[in-house]
Amino acid sequence: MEERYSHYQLVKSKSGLTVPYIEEVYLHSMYSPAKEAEGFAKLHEETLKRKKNVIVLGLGFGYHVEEIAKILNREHDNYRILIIEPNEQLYKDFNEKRKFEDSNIIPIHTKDPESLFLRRDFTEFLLSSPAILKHDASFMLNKDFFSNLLQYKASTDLNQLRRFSKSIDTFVETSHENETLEEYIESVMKKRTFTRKDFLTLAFNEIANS
Amino acid sequence: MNKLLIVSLGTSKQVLSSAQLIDTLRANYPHTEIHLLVDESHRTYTPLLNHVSKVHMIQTEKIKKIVEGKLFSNGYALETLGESLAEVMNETWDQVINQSNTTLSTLMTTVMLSENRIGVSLSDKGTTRHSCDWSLTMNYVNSSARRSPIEAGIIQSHLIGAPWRSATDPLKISDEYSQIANQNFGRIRTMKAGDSKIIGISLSQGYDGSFLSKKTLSEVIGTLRESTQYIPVLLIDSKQASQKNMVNELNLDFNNSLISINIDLSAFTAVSRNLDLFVSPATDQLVLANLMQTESIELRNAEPFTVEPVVSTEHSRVLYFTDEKQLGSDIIFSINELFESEMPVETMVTNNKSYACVKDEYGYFFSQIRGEVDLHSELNYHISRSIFFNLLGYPENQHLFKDIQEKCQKDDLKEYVNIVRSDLTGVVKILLATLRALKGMRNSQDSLNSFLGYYDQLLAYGTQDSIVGALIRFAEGRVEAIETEDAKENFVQIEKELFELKSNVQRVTEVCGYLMGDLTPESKSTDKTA
Repeated sequence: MEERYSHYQLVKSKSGLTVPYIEEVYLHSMYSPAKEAEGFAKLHEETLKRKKNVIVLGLGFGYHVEEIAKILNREHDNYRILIIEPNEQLYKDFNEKRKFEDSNIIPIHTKDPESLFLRRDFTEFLLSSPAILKHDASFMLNKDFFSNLLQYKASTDLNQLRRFSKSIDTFVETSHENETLEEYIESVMKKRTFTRKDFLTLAFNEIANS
Repeated sequence: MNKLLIVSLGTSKQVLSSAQLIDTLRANYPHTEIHLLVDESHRTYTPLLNHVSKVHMIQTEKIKKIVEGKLFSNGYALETLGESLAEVMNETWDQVINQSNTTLSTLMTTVMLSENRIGVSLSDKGTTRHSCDWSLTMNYVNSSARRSPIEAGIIQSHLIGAPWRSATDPLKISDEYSQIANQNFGRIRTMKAGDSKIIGISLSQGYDGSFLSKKTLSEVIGTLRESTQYIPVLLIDSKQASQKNMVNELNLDFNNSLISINIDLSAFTAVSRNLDLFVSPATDQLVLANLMQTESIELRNAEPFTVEPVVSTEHSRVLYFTDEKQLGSDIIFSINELFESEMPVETMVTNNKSYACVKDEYGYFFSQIRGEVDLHSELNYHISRSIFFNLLGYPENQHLFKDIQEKCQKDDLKEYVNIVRSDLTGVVKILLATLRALKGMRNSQDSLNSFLGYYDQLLAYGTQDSIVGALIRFAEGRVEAIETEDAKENFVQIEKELFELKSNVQRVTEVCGYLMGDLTPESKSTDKTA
């Protein structure tokens, strides 16, 4: 046993690999984490053949991720794996003790799902329609966080949209901050005189509904 | 002119066709920077276009995906559009051309900073604004005509004030591809004795979904191979497994001796130069072949002119087929006719209609060369074409009326003229009533309803697919383009447009008189250029 906290420990499995033990849950097999990881990747092999980009919910101690990477490396020229982990201590320990050698694997730590959607790289990655794979032990341990992440619904209020867009003033008159974008577009469509901003908003609407 | 922007946010066909417009612009403004705004999905097409200083792109698919996904903030969609437009929107353009005429192109053309917007844009009241009568013809006359009186390509040239001309240097051709293609086709050409013609046959699916079936391909390939004069070459898109399979199936029937070439769009220009004829549905390849002045047979699975042809190269053919069984014979017939050969044609009778692209002083047009002739619609097309070119500033085509008189049966002509005159009678009656009601409004406000009633009836005639209907639509466009907010001035301008319509309708009456021999060209009074 390497470190000991009240609800968090890193323990050694029978095969000698480190296994996080959190809130009375072992995140990997205590017998052979490597074999378990192989089985996990094999289970998702068909998905991994189709998708070169993957989001993994739960870092664990990375064994399952490395097995996923092996399959992706075999099947695709360019692949990327993004791992989301809400446990800060686990994230730190992993980076100190193991770290991924493969630069195509990017672990992210956050406790706030919305902060992910504010990240441009994360949004771009999501737009590539990645496969989303759950590491079951991590998922169960952080059920609320991952559920919030998967059920995230972006706000449509203009004042919230501003957080995602520096260009918003090119489209929207500032006096409409309390409306949703849909309400704002409807109000523009009803106008009798149009400005350059209005035409740009209508162009946006045309693209969105085409 | 320093910098101009072409907005082409439509189909791949429109993006590629902008090469024709760019070529004309280059000839007229050799030192102007030409920028292009296209959709990102057409990224692969733009490197083919010559004379473009910079390509700007908007990512419509990405924006749609963001808006559709509940996870993504629409703020990110706005940001994506805002970022991609930042540079073009900050520039002041000497001219912005709405090339593709879509709603998005029109909005984007309006958004750009320029005093000179070409084609359709929007006024600050949201009404459509046309840069000239050519634009109006495109949007009011062509859009509702079964067969456009003036081809879109010709209109596009005139939008920038230049008559239509064949492009001279519209596309980039890679030296490497060119060298390889010249070598390969040089070898192919010597496979038969004498000066063989290479007939490229596309296996691609057209914009309208049509493609050459195995039966038609076998018939055409077999006939060409049996001749001493032709060598068929199958052009296939290697990404399309179905095309590869088709070549394999055909090869089984022809002892593995067919010539097929895997080709992508970037190499097509080099290949096209080596073809004597290209047989293809309407595809991006056909657009490129046409720009390269390669004579082509365009295959359209549709009634004639329900879709405008892609080809405009002289002698090219458009084959509108509704009966696939006769398509092979129709293709061979066209090849025989183009190169004066005598390959056997299975049937001389066909339900399909073929048209030849012919050059004239207005640009180009399509003349029917095979299939049953619908005299009424052919006459409507040629006469309305002549009238509209005259209306838009060209001299009237005196030869046309003489030709019609000489070549048509008198009874057929009489029947046609009677139908047109009947149309005219109804329209003139309503037009005069509309003008009377308009005049009455000067004395009494009560005449407003009467005017609106008659004007609506007049516009209803405009929905008819006839010469007079097209003229009414033209007048409707002119009336809708009136921008004054002064009611009195508004009615003065409407009256002016209605008198103009009256004069144009009179022109049709005169044409009828001339066709029937009641009038002579000298006695006609309303040649717009006279």
